[in-house]
Amino acid sequence: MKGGRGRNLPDDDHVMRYVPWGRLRRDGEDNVIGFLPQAFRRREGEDYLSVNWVEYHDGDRETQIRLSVWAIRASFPNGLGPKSAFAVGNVAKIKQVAEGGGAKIRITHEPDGDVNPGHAGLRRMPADDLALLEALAADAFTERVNNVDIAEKSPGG
Amino acid sequence: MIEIARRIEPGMGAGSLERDIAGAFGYAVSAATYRIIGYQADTLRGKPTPASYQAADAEKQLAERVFDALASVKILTAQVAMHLDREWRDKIFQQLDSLHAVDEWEAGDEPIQQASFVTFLKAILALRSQRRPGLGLSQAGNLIAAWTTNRDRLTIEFLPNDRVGWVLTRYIDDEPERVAGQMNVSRLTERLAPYHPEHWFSHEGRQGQKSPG
Repeated sequence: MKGGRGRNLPDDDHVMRYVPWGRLRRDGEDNVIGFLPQAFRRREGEDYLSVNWVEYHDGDRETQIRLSVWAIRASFPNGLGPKSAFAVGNVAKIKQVAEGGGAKIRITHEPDGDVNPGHAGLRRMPADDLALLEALAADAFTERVNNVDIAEKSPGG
Repeated sequence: MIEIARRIEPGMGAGSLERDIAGAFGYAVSAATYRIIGYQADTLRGKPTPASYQAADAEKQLAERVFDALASVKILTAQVAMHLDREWRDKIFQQLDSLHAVDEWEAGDEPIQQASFVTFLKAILALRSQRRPGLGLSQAGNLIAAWTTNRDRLTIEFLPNDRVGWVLTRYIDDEPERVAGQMNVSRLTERLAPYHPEHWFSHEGRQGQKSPG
């Protein structure tokens, strides 16, 4: 098994965060063009910002992305909205952007049993620093994967 | 449950109920909201098994809360309708309905808060933006407006009690300059002025929207 609870993720790796429809950045015609800063705000009571470690999974990039999405879906028993998306960012870039905003964060492996063993977290994130959240949305999580573009997991898969 | 359904509209389907609501509310309720009403009517008419009571009850409660929240903010909008272009108003209603689509709902999120929407209306009337913003919703039910021109972004979160939280990113020589603040909505126009908000609010910025990823 890769990683280990609490271990820092490698700088070259990537993490993925689920972003519901309400926190996607849109234009005035409802076309999705990115992420709102509020997509990266921790919920009250959460110790860290929840993400998934993409390279936890073996395979090529497409496979890693698909397996990460499947793992996130599995950890939401009520399912994810069809218009939701996933934000992907590089570990080193996220830490660099956060440090530029005054937060020296750690990105650690936080496995969630068999359901989501690639679960990870952004630790030491300020609770509600809008400039930092904006920096993450604009400069760190620069790739978007639409939920609808990832196939459903087959029953035996 | 069947008795309640009969009391609402004997022998009629959800379509009839939707038409009645349409007649009563006019522009205050849009097509997506009718679907929520229809969903509620279907829930009332259904005969769930004991195992599905809890889930059905939770879904019904969510649909009711969303409906109540949307209705209240649309009624608020009607009170200032004379100050809003009709196309603007209709589009905002569509965006609000889209934000509250039940199949997109995130567990634990709150529907739009009336106090947040009051702040939004005050800001929109003061900012006089030619371009409509994209809308979003925070976990707490605060409305968020976003304007984007090229890579430059302006985001405003409308808080209760006339407060706004805002953040902007402008790229100068490929370097991001970022400013954030929180204040009373009455000072927002003045506070944004040094950053040339027409960059986001004028129609000239429309062609500059860019989609990452």
